[in-house]
Amino acid sequence: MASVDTDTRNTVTRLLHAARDGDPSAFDRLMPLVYEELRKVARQQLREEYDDQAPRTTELVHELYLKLVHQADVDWHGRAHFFTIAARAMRQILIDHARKRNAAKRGGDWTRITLSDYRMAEETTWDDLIALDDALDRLNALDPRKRKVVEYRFFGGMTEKEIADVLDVSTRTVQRDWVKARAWLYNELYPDAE
Amino acid sequence: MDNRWHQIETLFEAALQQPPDERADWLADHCDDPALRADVERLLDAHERTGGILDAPLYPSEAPAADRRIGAYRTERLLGRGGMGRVYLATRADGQFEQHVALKLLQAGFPSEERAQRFRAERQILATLSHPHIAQLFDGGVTEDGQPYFVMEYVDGQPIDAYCDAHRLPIDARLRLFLDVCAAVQYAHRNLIVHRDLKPSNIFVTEAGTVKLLDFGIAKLLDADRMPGAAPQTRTGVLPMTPEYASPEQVRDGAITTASDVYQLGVVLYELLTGQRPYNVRDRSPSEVERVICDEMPTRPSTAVTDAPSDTMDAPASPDRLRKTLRGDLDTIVMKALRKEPDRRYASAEQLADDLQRYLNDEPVTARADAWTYRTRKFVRRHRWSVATVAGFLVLLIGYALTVTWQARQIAQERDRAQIETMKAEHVKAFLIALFGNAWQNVGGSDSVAVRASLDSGVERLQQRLADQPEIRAEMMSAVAGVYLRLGDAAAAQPLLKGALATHRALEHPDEVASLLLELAEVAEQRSAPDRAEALYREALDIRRTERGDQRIATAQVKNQLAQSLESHGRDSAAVALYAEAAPVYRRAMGDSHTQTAVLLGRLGALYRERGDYASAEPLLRDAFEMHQQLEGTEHPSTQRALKRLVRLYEAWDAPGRAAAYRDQLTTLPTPDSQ
Repeated sequence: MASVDTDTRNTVTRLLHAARDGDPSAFDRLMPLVYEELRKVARQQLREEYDDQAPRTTELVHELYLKLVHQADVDWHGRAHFFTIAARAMRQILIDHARKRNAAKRGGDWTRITLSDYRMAEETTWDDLIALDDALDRLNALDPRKRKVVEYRFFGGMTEKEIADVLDVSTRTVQRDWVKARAWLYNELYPDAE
Repeated sequence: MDNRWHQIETLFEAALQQPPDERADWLADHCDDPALRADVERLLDAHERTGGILDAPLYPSEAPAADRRIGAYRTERLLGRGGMGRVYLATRADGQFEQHVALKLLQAGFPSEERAQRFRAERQILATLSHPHIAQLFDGGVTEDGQPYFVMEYVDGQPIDAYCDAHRLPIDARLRLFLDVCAAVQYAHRNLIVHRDLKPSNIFVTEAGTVKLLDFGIAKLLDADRMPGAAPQTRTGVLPMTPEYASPEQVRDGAITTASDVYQLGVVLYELLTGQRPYNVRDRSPSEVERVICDEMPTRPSTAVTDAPSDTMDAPASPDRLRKTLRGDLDTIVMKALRKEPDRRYASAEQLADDLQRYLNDEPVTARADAWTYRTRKFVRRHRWSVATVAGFLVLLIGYALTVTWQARQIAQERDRAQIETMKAEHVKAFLIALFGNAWQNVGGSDSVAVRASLDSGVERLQQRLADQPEIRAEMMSAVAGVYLRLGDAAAAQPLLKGALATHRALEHPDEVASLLLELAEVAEQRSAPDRAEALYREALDIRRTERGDQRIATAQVKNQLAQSLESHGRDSAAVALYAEAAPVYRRAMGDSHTQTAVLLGRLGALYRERGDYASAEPLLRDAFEMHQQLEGTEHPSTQRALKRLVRLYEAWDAPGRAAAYRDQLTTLPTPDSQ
């Protein structure tokens, strides 16, 4: 992975501290930085010729963390905050990519491109991802915390404990949120399922 | 939050608490609003759905790994996945062979046909490697999607480290397995193939105990940008695939030679012996990893084992026993394989194996010749020492002590400290013994000024820089004190010895305390303070009695020293009592043919004779004479002195015949003042 200049690292680390200390604008300033760096590392994964290979999101996010943050200076809590931002950035990158692809293919033959050629029974497609993204926006209008739980877990690869810590709720609450959000989203995404 | 949504989720959650087939009834009982009920029912239905987008992580799942067609093979199940790709258990799809094979499917594809070509060519070379301890490469190719794969002999076993721990193999058995590993590596090197990714997970052992190396040469195949014969490219900021096992030259510039494999063998050996890796590079940045691997000395295996928390290591022995086994030859062998400079390691895997074999055979190992104390000892033997050289070494020594101290500080965990200090003290001591044990015969005269100067500055630095390392500081102080004593400067030695004594007293080290008391007693004698000397001797004697027991040689030796001191100050009766106590212990412990025993008996006999106790003196003096005669010959001065004592005894006892018989053997006539 290409190295990141020290300034970026210092900035990210400092903003994480500010975020942890309750400065809400710190998140807003972190987001573009993380998005830009994550886009760079994800780019290779998302190249056209590797369409059949899954973007290994969890690994990407962890790589990014190692790259962007002075680990020694950031505690467990700060680390979790970083992952929430990365999860959000990851979601955005994947969806941007999916929409771009669809635009390019508009009018042509529509082929289902699998995200992972290992998943035989249930194929996740770029289409599915776009549908999920739309549904998550609707869920957000209804219940923002549940949107976050799904986003952090699915796009950020965070553990229930990390999510609980960031949202300042119990792990049990995170589990219950996940069950409810999942049912709600599946009702939206697969309404005619038996 | 939406109030209606809140109602829905509350009902949904409560319904979920019911058994699945009672949920509809429960909901009908608890919700009157048909629209609300319909929403909750839809959620309950959706809840039952599986296999949706959220039910698998956003990266390849490994579940459906069976029945995939790759080349001429069909996968049966996933054996494992790693950074490079996945390994499947597979069989020939065309039914030509029933045999199971391991199929390794690599993550990275080839962007060009040219690279794929080269891959195929090199794979052919690897297929020619045929060795009982190397998993045979059968086949390989590129899938339609451009993913390269290898087909290898399937090894049903476990990684060597897990195997050793599972079978609780003792050190010797671990070493014998490792010798097979070396043999396989040596075979490949002779065929000009380097492994470059040796690590336990690439070294399998079957249940029958056969070693099989996996993935030979594959790491090189994957280094796509190197054309055959092209100069190795400088790769900065890129770590090898397994940093924990990477050699310094791999980390620094990606240069790969057989020496890198030797280094990696050293890492594997280290791990097999200690249960730990020489460096911890996890969670470190690439530049930190590079620094650690290129600059830091790993902890010696014998020290590492005592630091291991017992539950993380399925040790082949208790930490204490393990440490004793590793200290010395095995430490030296491992450290030689792990040298930073490739040309200072073993020149080949075979040489490493040979040294381990010598260790197993209890023969001296060659690596020992490189160990610095050993080298120094030899150097001392070879050279006649000039004082200037001694002074130079002394400066080096102080520098060394400071270096190891500095290194110890680098090791963060406090709990490691004590172990490290012990190790350092042993190093310093060995070095000093090597250095000064032989060197001081030639020191003296005006040259000693130079020695004095470096000693004085060394002492100053000792006091300042080693303030937080009391144990090693004490070790150094007593060593330097020994040098001052050799120079005849008891006044300079005394405060150093006292300082060391205070430290060891505080640390409750009775052996060191006793030794230092004895040295201080000698200093007191040199400075004509017999009473002070006696008090020090007696304190040492008490410690030895308590720690070792009254009838042990270590205690008897203190009695002997004290007796000599008392005798030289005319306190004969006190001296006689002590000599008499020490004599039987000397005879038992040292034997009757030992110079020290002979000398002690002679002194005691002479004292008895002077006091007129001829009956007690006679057997002692005769034994002493016979021992000296047997050990050193009749003409030796010690034998002659014993003879004179015997002649004077018989003369005094009024037995002229016997006196004459012994006098005949004298080469010179006894003089009245000889003892």
